[in-house]
Amino acid sequence: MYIKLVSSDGHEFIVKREHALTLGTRKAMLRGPEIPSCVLSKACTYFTYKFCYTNSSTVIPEFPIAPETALELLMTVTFLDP
Amino acid sequence: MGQTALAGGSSSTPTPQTLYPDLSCPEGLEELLSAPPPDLGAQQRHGWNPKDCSENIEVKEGGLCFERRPVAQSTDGARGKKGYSTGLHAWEICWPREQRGTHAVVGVATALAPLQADHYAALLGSNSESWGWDIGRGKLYHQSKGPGAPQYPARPHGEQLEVPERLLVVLDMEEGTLGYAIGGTYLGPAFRGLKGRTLYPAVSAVWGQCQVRIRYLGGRRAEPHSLLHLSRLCVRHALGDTRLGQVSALPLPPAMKRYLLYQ
Repeated sequence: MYIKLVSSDGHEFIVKREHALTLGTRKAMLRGPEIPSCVLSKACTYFTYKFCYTNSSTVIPEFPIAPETALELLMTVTFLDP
Repeated sequence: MGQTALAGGSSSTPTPQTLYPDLSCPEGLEELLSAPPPDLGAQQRHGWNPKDCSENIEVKEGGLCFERRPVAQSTDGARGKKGYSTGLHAWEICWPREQRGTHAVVGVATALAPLQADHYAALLGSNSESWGWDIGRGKLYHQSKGPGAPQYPARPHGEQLEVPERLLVVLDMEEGTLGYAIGGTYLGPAFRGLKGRTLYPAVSAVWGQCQVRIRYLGGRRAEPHSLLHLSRLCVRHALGDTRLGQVSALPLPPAMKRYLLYQ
């Protein structure tokens, strides 16, 4: 039901398996680069956002990202499925 | 891209928009265009509305085509049957080049935009209820009578693109943009800020007996953007139009720098 993702600085993020269930994410979990917690927490929030608003008729709200996080995301997120 | 600016010898400085053009193809457009096209019935349901056009226009083939009667000193337009307020939509306009005359404008309009005027003009885009691309002059109109209208697509030295018989209109009601594509190439957003409205395909014409066809290519419901694309939007926004050149200085692999610049 849940999987645990661990950041390079030791934060553990527990997310629903079906939210994070993409090939890229699983590959990243197994042998991907170390991802800092500021990036991983944003990625986990994104998993829920994407799951919630895919194939939904509700208006999709903005997904806020701080500029400094955005750069880090660009560097690491290629390892997670877009 | 951008070499002409750096090489020197050009008398005018290209604007940032032409150095790093925002060719941000609406997400889902490729998918939409590669999916099986809607059948004839659907094309007609999204076709020209015989009850929502100038009285000088005759809609034929259940909405797939209209013909403008040769009425002198009149500009005449038509709206599609369906208006769009959400999602991504694309349709093909087929307008023979010899049937365009002095004012041939292609775009969208709200239900309130007038569809007839008693003189030859770029009617579509001349008010606040319509947006249009003059496919003869290459200019974009919204609340505009012509003078000072921007060129589209923006070219460094102002050269104009010849618009062939067929062009695609791409309306993204999630991003609020209207853009066009020619020969499979998306030319970039022409208009922004369209969210929150219901917009209908529209054209305005002056050429007697011109026949303008519309072929709806499909619509796509909004999906959340990918995390990569969201991050790209954020970085581009933080840099702003004038500093996009500094992407090269960012601590990113070359492929990611190109991604940021839509290359």
